[in-house]
Amino acid sequence: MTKSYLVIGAGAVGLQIAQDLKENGHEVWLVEESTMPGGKFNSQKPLEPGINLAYFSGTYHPGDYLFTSKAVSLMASKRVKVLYGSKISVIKEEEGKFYTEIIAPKENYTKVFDGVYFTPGFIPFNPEEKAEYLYGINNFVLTGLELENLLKTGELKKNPPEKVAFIQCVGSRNNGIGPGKPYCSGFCCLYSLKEIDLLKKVLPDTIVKVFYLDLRLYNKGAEKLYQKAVENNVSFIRNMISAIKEEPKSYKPIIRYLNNGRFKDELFDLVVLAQGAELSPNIKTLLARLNITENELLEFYGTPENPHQIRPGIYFAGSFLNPMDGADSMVSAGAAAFPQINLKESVQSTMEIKYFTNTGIIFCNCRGSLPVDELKGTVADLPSITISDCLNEDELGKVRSFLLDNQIGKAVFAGCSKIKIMPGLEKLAYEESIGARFEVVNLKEQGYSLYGKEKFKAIAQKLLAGALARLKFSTTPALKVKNDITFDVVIIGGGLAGLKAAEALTEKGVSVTVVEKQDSFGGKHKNKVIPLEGINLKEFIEKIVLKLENRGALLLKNAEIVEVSGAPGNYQLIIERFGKRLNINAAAVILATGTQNSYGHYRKTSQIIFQEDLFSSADLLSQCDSIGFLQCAGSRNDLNPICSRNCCVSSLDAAIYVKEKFPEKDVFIFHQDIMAYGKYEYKYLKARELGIKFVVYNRGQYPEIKSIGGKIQVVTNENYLDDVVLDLLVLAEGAVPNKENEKLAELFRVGLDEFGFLRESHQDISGGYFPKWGVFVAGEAQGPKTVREILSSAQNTAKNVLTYLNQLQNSQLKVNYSEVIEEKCAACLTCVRVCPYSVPVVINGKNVAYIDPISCQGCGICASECPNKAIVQNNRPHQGVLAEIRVLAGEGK
Amino acid sequence: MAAKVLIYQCSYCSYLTFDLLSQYKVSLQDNIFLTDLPCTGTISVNMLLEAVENGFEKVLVLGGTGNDCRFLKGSQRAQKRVEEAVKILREIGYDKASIAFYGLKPGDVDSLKNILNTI
Ligand SMILES: Cc1cc2nc3c(=O)[nH]c(=O)nc-3n(C[C@H](O)[C@H](O)[C@H](O)COP(=O)(O)OP(=O)(O)OC[C@H]3O[C@@H](n4cnc5c(N)ncnc54)[C@H](O)[C@@H]3O)c2cc1C
Ligand code: SF4
Ligand code: SF4
Ligand code: SF4
Repeated sequence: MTKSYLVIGAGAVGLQIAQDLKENGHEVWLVEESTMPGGKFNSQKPLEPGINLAYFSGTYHPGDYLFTSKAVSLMASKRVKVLYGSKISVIKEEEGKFYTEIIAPKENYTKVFDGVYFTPGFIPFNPEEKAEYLYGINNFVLTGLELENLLKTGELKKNPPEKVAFIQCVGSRNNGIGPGKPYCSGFCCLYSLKEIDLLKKVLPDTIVKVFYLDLRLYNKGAEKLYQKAVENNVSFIRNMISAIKEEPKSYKPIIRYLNNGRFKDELFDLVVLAQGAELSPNIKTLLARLNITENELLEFYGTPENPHQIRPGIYFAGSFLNPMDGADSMVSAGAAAFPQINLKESVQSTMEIKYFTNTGIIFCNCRGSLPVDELKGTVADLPSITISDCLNEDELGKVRSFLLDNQIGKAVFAGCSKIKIMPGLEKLAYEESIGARFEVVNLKEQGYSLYGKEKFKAIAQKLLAGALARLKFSTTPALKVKNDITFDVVIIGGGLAGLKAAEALTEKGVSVTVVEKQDSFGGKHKNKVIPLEGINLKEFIEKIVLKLENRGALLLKNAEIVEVSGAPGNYQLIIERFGKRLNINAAAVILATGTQNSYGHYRKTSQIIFQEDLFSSADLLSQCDSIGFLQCAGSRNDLNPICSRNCCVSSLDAAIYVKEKFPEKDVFIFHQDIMAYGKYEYKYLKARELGIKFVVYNRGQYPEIKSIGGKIQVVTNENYLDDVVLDLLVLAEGAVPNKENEKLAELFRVGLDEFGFLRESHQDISGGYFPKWGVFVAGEAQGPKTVREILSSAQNTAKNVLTYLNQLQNSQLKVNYSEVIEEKCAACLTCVRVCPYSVPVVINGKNVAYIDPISCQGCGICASECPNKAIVQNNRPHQGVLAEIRVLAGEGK
Repeated sequence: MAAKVLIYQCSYCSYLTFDLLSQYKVSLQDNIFLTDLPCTGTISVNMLLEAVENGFEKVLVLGGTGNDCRFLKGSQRAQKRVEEAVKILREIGYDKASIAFYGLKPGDVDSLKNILNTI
């Protein structure tokens, strides 16, 4: 059923949710306070060479490229209303409906919605609230955000600092006292490390010191930055500073801190404060109108079933739900949209397509920055239009009318990069049922910026003429209907992620097969009875399995995938089970093979056990008087360089569980950095309150463990603490990539990252995708995750699969595909052999090759390999390329 | 007049790198023409030779590196075709033009600058 939703905040998360809801048939209003989409990523637009500020999933990106194409696509759609510079002045909930008044620049609206998504991100904490940092008083004290600006504009190089201090946790982890928030802001350790990396890139000789409590570098990408920082001689000082003073003459900041038990004063040229996440006053007001208090929000982390819904119809997602980095925010966005995504009821198998025959040119002057008027009418005598902004609904509306009024079926867009604009143009034409073909001439990034003002006109004319020449030979997109689709999804791996994805999909009526290699489901969490993140996993998993059986899912234990063939939307998998082979068809495949445990250099004894042993037997805890947890036993070492992410939360949960049941027992946690990031910090606070003792050891310097007289002795090397004597020591095993990954990557033709996890695509930042169509990833196969994160990831992937199935079963305008000219085809099988996606097949009886247009990715490899030139690549026919060459080579224009 | 150069980008990888190049104070001469293909795997020997025949003295095909290719094998194919075209030029003894393939990680502007410097 179509519903209407309000999304508050057009950051990366709001855009993603709006897109998901819209793609699945809902009406969406997206209200954004500022005048641009993209939120924080928008301010990370690169200005200075080489300084791409957005560090996303382990690589740097220009911030604007992470969201612009999504934003243009939304603007281009009539089913989404995007209001910039707007605010919600009234919001009222009555009987499950939300009555709102919205103040927008041109018009005010009143509108009733079925649900509201809060995606306003956060505002950075203002350090002026904590006078001790001298922020706002001393000019050499900056925030992380301000440093990013100096890096971005190149200002920093003009006045290079010799010595820079980073102070972490400013406005976060305040223990509930004073300004700021008790939670950990989750992303500030990451961004400080990123800023240090960029700073060192620009000014390699700068001395950098970081003052911190815990370095919460819990993701793969963050670890890479840490390794680089260590190589670059960055010092990490685990101490909060005591005070900042001004040096009387230069006014430079002097930091006083505890160093080997003594106070030390050190002069810096620059102090950077890692400001945390704060709630904006506006949002607090809106929440108050819905009777949600600030405290409710602060401690809200949802239920396992409904992680994003605070009340029916009200959803929180992204860094607003829980402070987190961009990549995690995107997964949260998808998981939050999931409940509203359904398989389409009515299959739209036909569609009236308007095929126009005229060609036209769409110029965009990019908010006045491109002199496109110089070009108008100089290249070809064709209908043309000039718009001024591709992120503006009204301007895109002009393109719509231009195509319709002039009956344009082929058009060149001359403006910015095709990465940004192409999906939006295609969306716009599709919604109007126009079978249009677009080519883009990138006048901005690859024209004006690279050739300069003088050469611009001549070059632009050439490129435009070239694009028009090749467009002559392109065909208009064809309407293709896929009728024979099955809704079978195969999930490889029956651990928590696989099962949760199966549950999510079966709930929506998709039939699912789960293929599990072992003889039971649940993976490494299957026996855990001590609640982990509030969940008794053993019961939780048993319940899901029961539910899946009731829903008729095919659950295959002791089964292994051995062969994959077929094309996206129609894969044939061969599963081996007890020596027998089983053929299964699948529209989509989810890889959810999780991780394996790494036990570091430790071995189990009766008194030294691992978390997996502890969690599966609650009795162990009652039998001993003193218990210790040794963190990172199987992580962040030579065998496994990265943080396994869930073991600190596990130890905190277990420790709290014991202490609450048996307050008299002694509980110790030996750790490097306690990874209680985001709202997990509340667990850490609670643990401390309960009297659990935390003992720090330095990274890689594991404490010595001795067995003496039936007890375990942990040597702490701390002068304030005697060695600890324990009855039971629980080691935190680590999570390492599954050895199966290599085989899977080979079978499904997907990639692995440098650590050996399955590497998802960044083409779409929403997470869970591979570049290969119809193959998805969920859970820890992509990288270590906590239980809650695994559940979110599974829901996000289920959402992606549903969206994909909806695309498959509906008629689509296929733009990028190749086609066989039957008369020329000699059935030589060249295309069958070269296609990286195994799309071409030779039809029995007919003796010619056939390329399924839906599955074809339009790469053109087959077309250029075919010895008979029997394949036409519709999106870029060879004739067109040759015509363009002649134009570009020719004298004049 | 400077030799004419034609550069083929892959829409999915080197295209982004060229976009990023726009932040640098790089100035391309107007004898260099940029165009893109859905995948460098689209390129055929015929296209490469046609470009040479039409007077381009340098034809560069900029694809991805092994692992990063959006179409998995597109870059590999392109590389092979470039080799074939080079071979044909050599066989017919034509030495006024050169054709080359380069694999770049998406966003690797430094390598791109190096390549452009060789023109
Ligand atoms: C200095 C700094 C550097 C960072 N660097 C990185 C990095 O390199 N990589 C990374 O992954 N993460 C980084 N992060 C974290 C990253 O910014 C967030 O994870 C990400 O932006 C979350 O996206 P979002 O959509 O939830 O929020 P946002 O990007 O904050 O978007 C929220 C949007 O909502 C709008 N809004 C707010 N209130 C209202 C309202 N009342 N009405 C209407 N609209 C409203 C805002 O204007 C904004 O456009 C950094 C954070 C900081 C502070
Ligand atoms: S991520 Fe957490 S630990 Fe790190 S600076 Fe931010 S609040 Fe502090
Ligand atoms: S114990 Fe686990 S979660 Fe904690 S820091 Fe070590 S690897 Fe990370
Ligand atoms: S264009 Fe040819 S080679 Fe490429 S995906 Fe389609 S059928 Fe396969």
